[in-house]
Amino acid sequence: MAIEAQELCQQFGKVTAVDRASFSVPAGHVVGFVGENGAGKTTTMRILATLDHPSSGIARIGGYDVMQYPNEVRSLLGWMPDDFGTYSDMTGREYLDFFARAYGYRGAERRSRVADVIDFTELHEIADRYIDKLSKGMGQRLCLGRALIHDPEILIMDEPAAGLDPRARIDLKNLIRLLAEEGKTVLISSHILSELGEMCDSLLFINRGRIIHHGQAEDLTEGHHGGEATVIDVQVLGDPHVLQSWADMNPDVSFVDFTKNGGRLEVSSTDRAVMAAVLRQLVLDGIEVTGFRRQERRLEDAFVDIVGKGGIVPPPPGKKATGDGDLGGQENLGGSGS
Amino acid sequence: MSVNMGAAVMRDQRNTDGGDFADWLSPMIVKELRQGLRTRTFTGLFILIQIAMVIITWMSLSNSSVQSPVRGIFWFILTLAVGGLIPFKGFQAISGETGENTLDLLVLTRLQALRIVAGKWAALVAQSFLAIVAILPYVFIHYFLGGVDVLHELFYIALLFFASAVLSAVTVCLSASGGKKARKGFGIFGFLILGFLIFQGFGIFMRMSLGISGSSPFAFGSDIKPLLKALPVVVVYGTYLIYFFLEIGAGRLAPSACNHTTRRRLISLGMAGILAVMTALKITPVEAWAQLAMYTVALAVIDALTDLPAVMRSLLVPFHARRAASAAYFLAPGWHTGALFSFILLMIFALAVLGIAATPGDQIAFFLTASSIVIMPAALVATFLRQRRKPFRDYLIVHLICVCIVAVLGLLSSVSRVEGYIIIGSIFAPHAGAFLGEYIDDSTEVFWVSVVGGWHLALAYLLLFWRGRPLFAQMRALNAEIRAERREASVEKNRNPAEMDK
Repeated sequence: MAIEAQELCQQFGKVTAVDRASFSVPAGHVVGFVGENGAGKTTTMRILATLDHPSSGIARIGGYDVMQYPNEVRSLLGWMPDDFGTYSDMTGREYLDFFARAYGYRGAERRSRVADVIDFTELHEIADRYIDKLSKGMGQRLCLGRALIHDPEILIMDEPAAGLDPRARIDLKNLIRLLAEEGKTVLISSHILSELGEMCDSLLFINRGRIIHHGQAEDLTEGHHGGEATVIDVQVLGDPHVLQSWADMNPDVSFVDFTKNGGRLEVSSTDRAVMAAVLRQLVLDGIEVTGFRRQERRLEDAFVDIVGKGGIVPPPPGKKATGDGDLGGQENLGGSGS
Repeated sequence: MSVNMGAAVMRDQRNTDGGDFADWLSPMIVKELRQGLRTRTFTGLFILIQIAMVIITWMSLSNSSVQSPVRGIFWFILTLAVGGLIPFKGFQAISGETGENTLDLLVLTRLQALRIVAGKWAALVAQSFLAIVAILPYVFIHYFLGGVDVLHELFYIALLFFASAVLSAVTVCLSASGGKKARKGFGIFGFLILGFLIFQGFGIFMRMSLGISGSSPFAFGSDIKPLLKALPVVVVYGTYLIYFFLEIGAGRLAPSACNHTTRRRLISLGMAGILAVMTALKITPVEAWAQLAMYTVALAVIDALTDLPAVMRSLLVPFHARRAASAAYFLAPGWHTGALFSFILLMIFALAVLGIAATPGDQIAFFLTASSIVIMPAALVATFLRQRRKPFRDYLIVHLICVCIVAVLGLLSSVSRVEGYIIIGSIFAPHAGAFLGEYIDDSTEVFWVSVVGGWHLALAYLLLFWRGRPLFAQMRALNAEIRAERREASVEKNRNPAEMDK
């Protein structure tokens, strides 16, 4: 396992920031770390990065205990904090050059390393500008470059997309995809769940310091209520309230909410034939349907559901339940990502 | 586009293409100089010194009667810049990195904590050096104008430079220990006092080592040769102080699995041992060695007793590898081992220094009182504030509380003319023992002061060892585990050496 946590606890006075968190991330996987503000994401990541000591429990990076062998762990690790972490009175190139020196690169190797990172992060145009003149997106790219300067096997990124404009977010997402293609293990925290769903092999949910779920994004977006229900987005001509009245008369269908030109209905089945029957019945009952689309469950909804249920996730059909955060390798992931 | 492709290619070219001059320096020094020389403080200071020196030289040239006050201004500016402003910047050294959120990034690199701290310090020293180099031409101009002993001037400048280096090490160390809070707490006032003490310390030591009498610490006389003879001692002890403070600073930055304690304690032990032997052998000037031994022991004891405990396997394994597992009980990190270490240091000091005392009774009373004042607050911190993460701060707070209690009791004794207050206080606070002599009959003073000091010292060690028991037990368990594993590995190797070699 590239990253491993066993019964990790962090206590700040009477506050428990991390509460017996256990999870593992296989090498080469990109894992999204999701939780509300103050859920314990940053604390867990700082422990993994050897920056804080846990009150109890064990954390390992590349097989090395972070407490016992911090230097070995640090050589394997690239750390990107949620804040900038740059020197305002340096240019981007000087900044990367300093960290290349600090990681032991000398002479031509150092210059080449800096050039590679500038290439990778596409910082050519702004490399010789002072850092305090850079936009947040550029600064974040520079930070990613700094985290990659020693070519680490494992990257821990704390909210790297926070405060970035849409373009910068897409750029960052592309860079992380490239890193995943190179076989890096990435643990990335973010609030933007849809983006995490697209680029991560699995998602790790944390709430009040406890790991409440670890699984693939697809498992969470499949259906509702643990895969036993379907939400249908129905667009109609005229007053959308007819949908609500219609749903009230049909016991197998429940009304969820109104949308711009219609509403969302929920049926307690994932069978496509049932959906077809619903559509047929709507038309037969005289409702002028202009749009009918099965709606995938949003990751945000899944997250809210799981947090609301205290982390108990019903297993998708044919899959083992998760909740202890342990992915246990390829079997659970379907071999994706590496 | 790959982030590691180029590196892989270039790694093969390692050492085939030489680096620039900066490659020979520590990355921290390169960075610090790059940043430091761009700062307004340094540029402004540099320009101001130049302007001031030009004005002073012009005044000297135009009117020879103002030579003396002009010399005063010259020394004031130089001392302010090199001995004051530049070392004061040390308070920003580590806290500045914390402010810019870059400290975490630095400690994650291959730079060891000591190299980070030493780099910060070296950059300050380099700035002091540049400031001194900038004024040297003016020193020579004044020499040619007459009335200036250039050798003496250069000697004082060297002394100033060295004291500035020690002061910078202290401020960088404090910056690693707390930054803004330390700076606020310490303040300019404390900084000036510390600076004055260091300069005085150098001066007093030089005078003592040369046997020069007089009230001014810098009244060295006109002969430069004996001063130059004493200079190596100042350099050696100053280097020890610089190393000591930088290591403490590094220890604050490094993860607890990195041992910054053992080497520091061993060097302090060595330094105290050498000084104690020189004192015991009555090598002249014996008072100087004894005084330095006392400073060394006090610093090392305070440091050892305020060390954060870290009982870890990875910290104990190196002791086993060197066949010195028992040494871990007084050299491994933590205040509990520090208690044992401090006991050893005090014993060495007592045997060497008290053995040669002309009035042993007085010296024993002083030794017991001073030791208990240093050690009791640490025992109170260990007993009541074990879970706190800033033992040195807690140690200072307990000291302050003890001093306040004694001051109040002293005030009450003075106002009411009843000695009982301070005598009762001396039972609870060792600091009161220092004033006990004023309220007790001269014939029994030494005895009672020794009793009070001894009582506090015994109580302090009792508390320290009692509170340290769980930590020692953990160490014993880990040591037994490591020993068993090594034994097993050795048996395995003997059983099948060929297999093991593979």
